[in-house]
Amino acid sequence: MPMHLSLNLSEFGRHSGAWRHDVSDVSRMPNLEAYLHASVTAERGIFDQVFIADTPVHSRGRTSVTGTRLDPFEMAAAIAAHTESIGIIATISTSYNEPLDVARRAASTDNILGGRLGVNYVASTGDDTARNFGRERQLPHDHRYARSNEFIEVVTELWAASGRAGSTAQTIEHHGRFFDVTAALEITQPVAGRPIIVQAGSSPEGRDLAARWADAIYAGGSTLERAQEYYADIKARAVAYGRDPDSVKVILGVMPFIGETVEEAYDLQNTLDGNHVEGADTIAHLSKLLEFDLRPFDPDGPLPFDQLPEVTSASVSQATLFTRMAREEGLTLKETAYRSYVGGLANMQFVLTGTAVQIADEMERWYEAKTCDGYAIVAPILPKTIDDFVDLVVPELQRRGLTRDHYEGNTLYDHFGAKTPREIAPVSG
Amino acid sequence: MIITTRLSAGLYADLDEWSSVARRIETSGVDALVLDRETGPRPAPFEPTTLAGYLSQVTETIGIVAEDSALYPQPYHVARRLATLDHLTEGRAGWRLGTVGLTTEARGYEWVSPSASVDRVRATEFAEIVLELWDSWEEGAERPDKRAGDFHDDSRIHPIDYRSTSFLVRGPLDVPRSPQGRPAITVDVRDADDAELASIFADVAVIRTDSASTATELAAKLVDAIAGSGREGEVRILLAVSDLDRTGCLSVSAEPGEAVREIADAVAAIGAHGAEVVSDGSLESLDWLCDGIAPALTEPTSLPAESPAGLLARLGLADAARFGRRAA
Repeated sequence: MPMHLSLNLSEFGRHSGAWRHDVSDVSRMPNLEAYLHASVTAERGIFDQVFIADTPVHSRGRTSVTGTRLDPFEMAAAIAAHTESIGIIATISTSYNEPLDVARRAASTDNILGGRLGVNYVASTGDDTARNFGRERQLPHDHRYARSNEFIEVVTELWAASGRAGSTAQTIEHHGRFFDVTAALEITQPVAGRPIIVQAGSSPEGRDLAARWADAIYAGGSTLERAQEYYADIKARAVAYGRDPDSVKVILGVMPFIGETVEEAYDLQNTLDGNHVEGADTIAHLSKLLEFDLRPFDPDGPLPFDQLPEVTSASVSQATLFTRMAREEGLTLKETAYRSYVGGLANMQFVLTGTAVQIADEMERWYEAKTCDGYAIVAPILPKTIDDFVDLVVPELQRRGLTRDHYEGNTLYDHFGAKTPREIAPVSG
Repeated sequence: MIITTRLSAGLYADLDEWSSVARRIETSGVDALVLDRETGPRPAPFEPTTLAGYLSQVTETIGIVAEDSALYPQPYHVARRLATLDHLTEGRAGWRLGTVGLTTEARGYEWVSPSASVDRVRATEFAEIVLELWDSWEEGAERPDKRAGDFHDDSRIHPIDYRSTSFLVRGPLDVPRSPQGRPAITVDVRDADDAELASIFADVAVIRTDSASTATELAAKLVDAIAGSGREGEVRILLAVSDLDRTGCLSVSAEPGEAVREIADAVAAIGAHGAEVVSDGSLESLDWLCDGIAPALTEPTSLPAESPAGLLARLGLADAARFGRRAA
């Protein structure tokens, strides 16, 4: 199976300093051309899919700027008109959606895409998000994943019972803990039976949900060993659910800074970091993340590790990550704050800075070391990164026989080399 | 006069067919394509909002109006997806309020409708919330300032803090203000309650009845209700017509010349601004519409070529569109 390639779609790139770069066009918001160009270019590079992240809440302030928010299914339907083979993963929140509505729109979008849709199911957190949907605060932790699991059960039942051309749908009866659904879908069944299922989450519940359901899980990792551990764990969990371990792809996030020379690559990285931090109160940001006021402490001293509380909010993963990073690398408070602030998602991924050959070398090394089945390119700046990646890195990967040089089919199931749901029995939880 | 066309999202299974039909209708001068949910016994491959997303990319000037529920599940999602559609179409989008649920989904959501009158209240609140969310970004709030480091101007983006017995929506919307300011809103009018709802929310109110006398009554009720809501001049009234029988709207001749006269007379008789043509998407019906009816009844748009050809502007409503209407 060739190395899987995915591109995280955004207007300017996933580095929060990207939009401030001289080359970034901020004259039109949203900049739809940017999304289309990135998708079309990724398709030229024979990427398996592009990925649309989403949280249905307005994000105030400057700390994490990744572009304009738009409805993912609408975007996917629009991108469908400009592409032919590349898959599109749309994110939806299982916490703040109901399965019937999602089943309908996803089925329609998959039919528009001819089998190229994947859905990333997120057990969203965040009180702010909850308040857009009738709740005073986010769902309790143990509810979120239970609801997410049941959500996927219900949409799967609806799709399995839906009609194909010429036949009518059957009514499903689902009376569960979170959803009470007696309904039939008026949309024809998605092309392969149901859209590809994607997950992204490193918590035990997220890993478990992925092992039970997902065709792909998006992972972040900061060291090779940690990524290997994660990979092995996901595969083992899939086996425990009676699945072929190859049927769950582990897609590792990587943020590549590509340059003709190493110096050029580092220049880009430093420019973007500098753009983002300029004028920012990084210690306030870290304080918010760790739910502890760090301002009284010496910025050139270490974090007050023994005083930090248990983080309960949206950013458990990030809080853990930076605390661990500070401890392991002996970072000062100021350095940790800077790292947590810059790059948005960058610190969640592994970062590669160098020439195309160096980047291909590292991607190959990690892939051969069983850390992943492929990569999610978390492009720091768009369109530059995807243009460079497709023009310079992809030919290297293809030359080494690691990635495809042409599509062998036109659905996501084809790209994944996966059996469609019609060919496999459903897994009960 | 204004001419719109209503098609079911289930009419064609092939996107190339959809594209060529949409473009043909666009070229004929029709002002907007209204996409309805398929309600027949056979399932459809597409539903209106996502089909509209696709068609946004293969059309250039025609309005694209998608039916979406004003009952379930949540107004925030409807506000996002229609605002996104307005961005994708560069200001040509519209929302047709779905105030009647499909029987196949009656027990499909957390909220179960107890009665039509409760539906009415819920639809009213739902539409209020969507309108307020569309208005939560002031014009220009999305302008990024590279030097200052502000991606958008938070001081000009406002929560809506909507609370009722059914809804809690803090907002603001996460999608920026759309090119037209907000998508256009169309409401079907079949009875006095519909007229009331339309008077509060509609940019376009479509009178649907197969009886000419009922059409006259409904038009009168609508005009009264619009006056009562203080919105004279802000609502375009259309009469639903069809070359087909048993469509729930006024049936006119299949012979285009005759039909043009019948439509013109019927529209004038009730003081409407135009007609919504319900088509079954067949070649005969499309020929009748695109070669006969639309060219005879529409005028080439009088907007200057350079101006953004938004749907509200096309309907002559760009200045009249007000926001944040709360029902009494």
